[in-house]
Amino acid sequence: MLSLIFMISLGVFFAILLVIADKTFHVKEDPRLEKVVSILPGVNCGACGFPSCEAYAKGMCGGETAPGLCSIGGEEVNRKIAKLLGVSMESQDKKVAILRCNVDEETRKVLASYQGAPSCLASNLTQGGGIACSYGCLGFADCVKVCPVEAIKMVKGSPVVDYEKCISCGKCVEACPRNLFELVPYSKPLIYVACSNTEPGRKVRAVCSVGCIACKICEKLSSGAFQVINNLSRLDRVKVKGENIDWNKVIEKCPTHVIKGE
Amino acid sequence: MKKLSFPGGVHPAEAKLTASAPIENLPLPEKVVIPLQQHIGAPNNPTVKKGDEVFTGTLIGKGDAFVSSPVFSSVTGKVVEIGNFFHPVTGKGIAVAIERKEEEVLDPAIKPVEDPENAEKEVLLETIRAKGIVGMGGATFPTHVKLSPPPSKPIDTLIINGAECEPYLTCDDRLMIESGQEIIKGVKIIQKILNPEKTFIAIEENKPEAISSLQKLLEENMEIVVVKTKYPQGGEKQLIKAILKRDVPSGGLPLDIGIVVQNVGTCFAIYEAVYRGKPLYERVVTVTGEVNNPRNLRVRLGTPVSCLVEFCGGLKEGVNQVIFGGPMMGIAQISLDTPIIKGTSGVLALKRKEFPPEYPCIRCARCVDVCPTSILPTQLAKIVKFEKWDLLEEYHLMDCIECGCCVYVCPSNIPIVQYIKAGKDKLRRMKK
Repeated sequence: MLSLIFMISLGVFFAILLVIADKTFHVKEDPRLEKVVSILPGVNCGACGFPSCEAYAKGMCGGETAPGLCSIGGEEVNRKIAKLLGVSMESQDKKVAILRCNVDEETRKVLASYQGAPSCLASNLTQGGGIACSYGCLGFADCVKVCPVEAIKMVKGSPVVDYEKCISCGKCVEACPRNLFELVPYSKPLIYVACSNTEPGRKVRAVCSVGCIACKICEKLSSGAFQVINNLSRLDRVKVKGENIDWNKVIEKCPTHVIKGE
Repeated sequence: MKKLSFPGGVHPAEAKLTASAPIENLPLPEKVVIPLQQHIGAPNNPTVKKGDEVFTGTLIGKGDAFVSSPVFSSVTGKVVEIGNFFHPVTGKGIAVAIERKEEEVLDPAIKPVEDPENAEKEVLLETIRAKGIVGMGGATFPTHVKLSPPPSKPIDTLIINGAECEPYLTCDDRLMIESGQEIIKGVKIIQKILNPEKTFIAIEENKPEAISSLQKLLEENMEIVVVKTKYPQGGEKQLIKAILKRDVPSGGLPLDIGIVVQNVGTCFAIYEAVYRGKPLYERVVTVTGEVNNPRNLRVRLGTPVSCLVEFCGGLKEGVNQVIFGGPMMGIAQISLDTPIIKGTSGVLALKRKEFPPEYPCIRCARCVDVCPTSILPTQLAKIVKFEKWDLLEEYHLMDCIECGCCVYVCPSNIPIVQYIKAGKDKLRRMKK
């Protein structure tokens, strides 16, 4: 009998202790957080600038950032979250990664055979993997390995981006040791210069048959939307919107076909 | 005389084909291409422009930073181009191309230091900086920086590195045999700057001729130590461990424990700068391996390697690899137009079989056994391969000296050093 009373009183004592602990150590959590996390895709790609989906959700609930940065979920997810939180959306145009190099297996000029670690990072440090152009794509697909949504594929020895799949997380931009990827607003047609070589035309010709030779034809045909700066044609994306330019003509007239329109 | 060594290391075939070949002067090339970046540290800016006439020894590039080293024209002639050219270390780099004229004229500004025996310490140090002297063993760290330890770190020991542990290379060996007096004078200049209590000249036991010839020339407060023939005996930290049994702390420099190590080639260059006022525009290069007549040559910097190979009778049939440096640490080149720079100690031609494919690591730990810095090469290679970048520092990536012992013993042909180099590059990018 005595033991029964003792056990019951012990139980009551610990119950009270637990209640007190629950009250004093209570962590106040936003009830919306769980809902927001469940709406987000949960891929933890990092494109929004936060390390994980949960961190981004916390940021939104705390009011530090606004919905609209999730590029995987797209508009639908962002709108849902904005509605749930009752805030306005941060509007953002879709961006995609483009490759600023034009080579493939056939056009890549190789000076020496490379036998070593099959990675762009490593081969870039080993005399550029024996590739003649010191700006161009090395072809070991470091970008393919880091892409979280399999938007990059190797086609004939050089990476090709699937713009519909690309979520503009920027991981390929970071991974490429030659900084060949660039994030640009996704528009149709998507126009870009597929070369990064800033050497004079004569030297580019010596190492590559499909590089920008700074001939300035694009400059003349596009009323200044393209500009050759430091021996490389660059597209002014602000100017593009206002002007009425015959893109097909520019693409066609480029002697090395380095200007791409897709 | 004692025989000393360090834990770990390997003993590849020595193959010192040119050990008895005297140093010869290479005929001057028609055109030199002198890279502006020939040292570790801040980049140089050109001080000449296209069309300028330059003399032998004229300054052509310098930087403002303390850790930088000027470069000089190695021939008399005309600057024909400043642009991107082949670089033996970085692949491509900015360089000054100079076309040589028939008559050679030394730059009128070249003057030796007056009364070098009694010159002030500051004058000597400034001369070493202004003449572009860097570590000639291959690392090319500016010598004046190494010789300017902060006052909080007094130097008690100076080690002169004549180990030359890389197989094939003999340029330091020949320099010690032929120019012992000059080297000793160079050592005395360093002694004057640092004022160390002890000076050791470390030579591997496979160079008896160099040991005996320097032995005769020794002055007070100098001692020759014979170290075991083992690779990488000539590594700074390995040499310190062998001679003094002291460890350089992880991430630290020898001067943290009161030691400075200088290569014999650097001592010779210091002598020439101080006693003759000569800027660093030539060096001794061993041309060896599968060339028809292996030789030791005194070469003007910027000379394309094709000139050296041609002078040595050309490459043998079937050569498919040309390396700058030794077989263990040297860098394979992609073109015979690549110029010789301050840190090029050798040109090695090899007939290589196809490099065997990389197999998975079997965790035999041979690389761990031979690693002279006691890190875990296999672990580091794996970390880089699987891109776990945050673990790199935990496993002391930066302590790797890239000696290549691990790759030499690896039964799975894993290019460990290449992975480690890639990891170092990644770490640098991430810290930016």
